[in-house]
Amino acid sequence: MNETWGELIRKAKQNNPEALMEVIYRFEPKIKKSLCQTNVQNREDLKQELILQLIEVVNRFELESHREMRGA
Amino acid sequence: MTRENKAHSFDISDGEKRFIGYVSSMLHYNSIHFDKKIRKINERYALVLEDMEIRDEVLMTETDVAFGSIVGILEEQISDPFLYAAFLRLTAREREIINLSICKVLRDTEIALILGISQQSVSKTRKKALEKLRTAIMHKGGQL
Repeated sequence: MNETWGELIRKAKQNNPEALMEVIYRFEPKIKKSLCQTNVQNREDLKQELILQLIEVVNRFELESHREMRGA
Repeated sequence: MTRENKAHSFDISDGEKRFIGYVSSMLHYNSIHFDKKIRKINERYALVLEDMEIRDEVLMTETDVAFGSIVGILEEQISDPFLYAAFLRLTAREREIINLSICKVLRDTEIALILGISQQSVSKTRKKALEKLRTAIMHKGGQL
């Protein structure tokens, strides 16, 4: 529960479902707020879509980026 | 959940910050994009309906003009033989009411006043007559 984002992302990238769930839970308030963008009938669809995108982003994301390397 | 996020926010690395920022904006823009997509689909669907409405309106104005010159005789306006036959099969009262309501664009209450009957019976007769005509058009293949 009290893991840092870095650990969570690393674990989630290694196909750890609990870590991935934790990431989704942490973003839930933001997702809920984004749902207000569309009307009530489509909210469930949008939620699915956003969570899917979130999972994809987690898999794609590189924590140690080239930008960070350049800065260091 | 939010309180926890705040507790974490003091000691997070640049990469983590980038991740959170990226995901936040991703969620934001994706939800906007999703709504746009839905609206686009709805618009396309609505266009079809609107098209039909416009076509109906054009037809309506054409018939209005036609009826304007020849006042109140629907018998002479029907070109479809099946519909014409069905129209002649209606009772005299039904034909009268249909003529008044469609050709002269009168309201049911006004027709009732003219014919000296109640508005309810006008509505009932008109609905029944239109229903007869409708079924006649639907089954026109089987009748001749």
